[in-house]
Amino acid sequence: MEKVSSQWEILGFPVSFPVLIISLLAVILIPILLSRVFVSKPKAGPSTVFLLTGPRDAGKTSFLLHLEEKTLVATQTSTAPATIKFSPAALEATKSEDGQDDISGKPFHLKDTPGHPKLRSIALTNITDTTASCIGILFIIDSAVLSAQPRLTDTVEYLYEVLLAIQKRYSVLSETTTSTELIPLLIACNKNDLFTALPSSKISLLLQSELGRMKETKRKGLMNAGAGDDDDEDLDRVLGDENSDLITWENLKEFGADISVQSGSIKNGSVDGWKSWMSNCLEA
Amino acid sequence: MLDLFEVITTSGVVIWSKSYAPVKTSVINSLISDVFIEERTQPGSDGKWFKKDSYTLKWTLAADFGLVFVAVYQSLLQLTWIDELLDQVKKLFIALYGEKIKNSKGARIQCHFDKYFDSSIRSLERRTGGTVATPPSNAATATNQVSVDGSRNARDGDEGEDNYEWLEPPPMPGVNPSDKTPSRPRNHATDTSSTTPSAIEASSPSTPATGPPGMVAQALLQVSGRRGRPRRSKKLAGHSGASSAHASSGEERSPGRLNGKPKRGKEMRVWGDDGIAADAGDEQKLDYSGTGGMSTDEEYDESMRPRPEAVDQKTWGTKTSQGDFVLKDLDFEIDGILKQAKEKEAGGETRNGASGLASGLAAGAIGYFKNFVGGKTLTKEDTEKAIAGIMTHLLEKNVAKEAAEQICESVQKSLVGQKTGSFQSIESLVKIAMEDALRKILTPTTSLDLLREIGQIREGEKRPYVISIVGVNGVGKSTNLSKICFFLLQNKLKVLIAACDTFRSGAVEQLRVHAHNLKELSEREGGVVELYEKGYGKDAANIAKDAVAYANGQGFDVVLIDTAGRRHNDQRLMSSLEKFAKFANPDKILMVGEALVGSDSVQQARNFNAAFGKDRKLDGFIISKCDTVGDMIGTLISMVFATGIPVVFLGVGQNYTDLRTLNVKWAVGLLMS
Repeated sequence: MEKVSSQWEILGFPVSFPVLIISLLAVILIPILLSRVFVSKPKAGPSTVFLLTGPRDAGKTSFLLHLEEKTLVATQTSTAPATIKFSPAALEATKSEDGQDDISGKPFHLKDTPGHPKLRSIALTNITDTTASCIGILFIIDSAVLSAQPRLTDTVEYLYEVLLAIQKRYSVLSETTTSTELIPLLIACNKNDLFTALPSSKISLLLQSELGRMKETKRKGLMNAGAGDDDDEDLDRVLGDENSDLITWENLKEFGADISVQSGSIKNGSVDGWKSWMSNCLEA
Repeated sequence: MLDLFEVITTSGVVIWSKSYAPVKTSVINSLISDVFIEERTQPGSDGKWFKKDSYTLKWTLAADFGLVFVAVYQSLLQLTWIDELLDQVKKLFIALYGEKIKNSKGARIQCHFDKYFDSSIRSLERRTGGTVATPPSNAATATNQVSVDGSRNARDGDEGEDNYEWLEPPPMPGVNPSDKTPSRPRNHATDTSSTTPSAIEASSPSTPATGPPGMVAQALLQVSGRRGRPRRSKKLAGHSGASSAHASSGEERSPGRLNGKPKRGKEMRVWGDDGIAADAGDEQKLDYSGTGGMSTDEEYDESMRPRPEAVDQKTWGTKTSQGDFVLKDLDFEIDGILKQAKEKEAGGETRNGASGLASGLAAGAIGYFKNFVGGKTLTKEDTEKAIAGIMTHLLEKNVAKEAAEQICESVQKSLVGQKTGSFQSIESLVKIAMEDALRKILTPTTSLDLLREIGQIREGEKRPYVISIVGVNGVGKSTNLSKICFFLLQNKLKVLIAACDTFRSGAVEQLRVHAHNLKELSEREGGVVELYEKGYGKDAANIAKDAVAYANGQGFDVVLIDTAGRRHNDQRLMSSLEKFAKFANPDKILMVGEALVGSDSVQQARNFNAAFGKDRKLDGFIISKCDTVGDMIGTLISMVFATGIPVVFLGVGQNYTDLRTLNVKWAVGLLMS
């Protein structure tokens, strides 16, 4: 009788309790163990990431290396992104006269992305991917070439894409979470040591008016092929306010981008403004 | 001479560079963006070289380390050893810094590669009999130091030997190099009888016949390393000077070897540390020298002369640690590294064969599991099947065979060495890589905002914006022209249509109908359209020129020029396009291509792209009849891939409104579905 009580019948086969437990455990544990053995741990993306974006030859990789080595390092066109982890000490001003000791901040990552038009999707998908961290975006531009129309168009085109991506990220985040913070964007006007460099105030105006014109022509332009099949495709077509072609930094705050413009020069090492912007982002 | 050599990471950091003459960074930048990013090879280069300005660039990739090695030199020079240099530097660099680079994760690493590079390049140049990096002044000082005996020795050798002689320390005076000829056959004999490959012997030719004590010791070491190895395998050594140098070093070392057995033991230890020639036993060496020495009487005579062995030992040790003979040590080191790299390559193959049955089975089982679970490092063989599958898929989507093959090849290249993710099959990995590749191909590199450009030209230069449309017969040039015209009229622009198809009857009338329709349609919108026609039989280029002048005078915003359709492989018709481009000087030349066309699309695109002369290329494609092919839009890929020119518009129907811009995401989605 006792024997019978410790047994069940499954599909007509007598099964004892310990055997059942053991087999169940085996069924659960073996896949877990196997995956441990065969699957390398998925990399959890770093949590505090600054994104370095901007057109080609603006100085993204140079800035990354400047933070690391404090010197100007020769670079060529990037073809792949690179992420480097920094300690908060990297953001200390080069001439720290005021002996402030708030280096207790978190370490952060800086992700450099290629600026070639064909590879810009790397940066843009990083922004729109809401699971990836992005606590701030540095859009580095070459302030010496903006007086030439083709380069200005190229720069603004990319900036437009970045702002659209920010807008998309912001709208997705604000739907899912209750409190959404603006995504800080620094337009870092590099190479202001050059003779032809424009001042940051002028660049700011130039970019805003050019963005406005671009928005206008994009609205007037032809539809995308396949538009309408995908609803979100239409959603991210227009940057900012639907009713006006005017784009100002103030207006874009509604759409998730907190924009500031600062001049600097990696060559001269005058990037303290950018650094303090980054440490502000870290503190926020 | 080489102008510049750079080692660059894919993230754009110049890890190491050596520049002999100033070269603009834009030269290498254009290599990277043209060849690596846009994957456009220059005609005739077969992807092996790249010409920019007056430079020729050659490169080699180390994909798993994310490194690019680029050599830049003047195109006028025929440098035959560049490939070898690249290969050698790549091996050296990876052996020295490969681990460091892998661990650094994008951060810059410090490397002191100069001396290795200098040494490599010098030996290569020496071998090919080219110019030597050492300036003449250096040579002069060297000859000053050389004693009577030494200089005689130098003169004995050929030019190659002469060259390395500069780099040598002065030979020890008082030691007479004996006649070389008798010993040479012996040396040769040992070399040919040998079987195992060696890189160490590479530096042996630089050993002079008569050297200071340290040199003799080194010579001995070299011989011990070289012994039993074929000479052909050497990477570094100058071939020209090799044989005589071998001979001379052979003579010199024989007495020392005969006399001092303990010394040999010490040498072996040193080399064991370096991982080179450690396997050679003492007895063997003795045997060797014995037979070698016995073979000729001259060498016996040599051996009678007393040798300062004690000094040999001491200097040997100090020399290596202090690096007095920098070049010498470096050569050894480089040879060692290269040899290791080669052994690693060879080892990989033999290990597969030699592994036991059990371990082979276990590896096989793990590999089998990894196929499902992921974490497998891909080899070319692994991807073969999936690539073949995706290639068929592309061909089914009407991608031209030529383009499909090349795209698949580059995708396969990019996949080798990658790891599959957790529970990711090879197929899905290949699919993702292919999507990336297609997206990269279709993504334009310039702004395609036509309205913006027209506005800029109007504001800046106060002249009409000229667009001309070319293409094969019957692809829809006039239809698409009128669609573009309608789009421009919607934006309140003043458009002049120039009828430059003066060949096909009815072409002008057709445009007249379009112009009439468009005028009616756009009257309310505020656009103005006019037709500029000069009948049939006239020269199209002249009409186009006149039309532009007329538009300029009348204050038109845009001139749209329709041209006669022409077969892309008809030289006579295509040649008139060059004149046309010169006369009309259009801001945009758009080529209309049918989505229906199959493998001919590649040639069409190429021929039209080349038809406008040296300085003018197409500016964009209009792919017409997209509505008739469904998701088989492979022509898009074929044409863009063949030329690197973006798709500006898609024709998706018969109405004036059926014009679209390309959405890369949509196109890639269709192609991969």
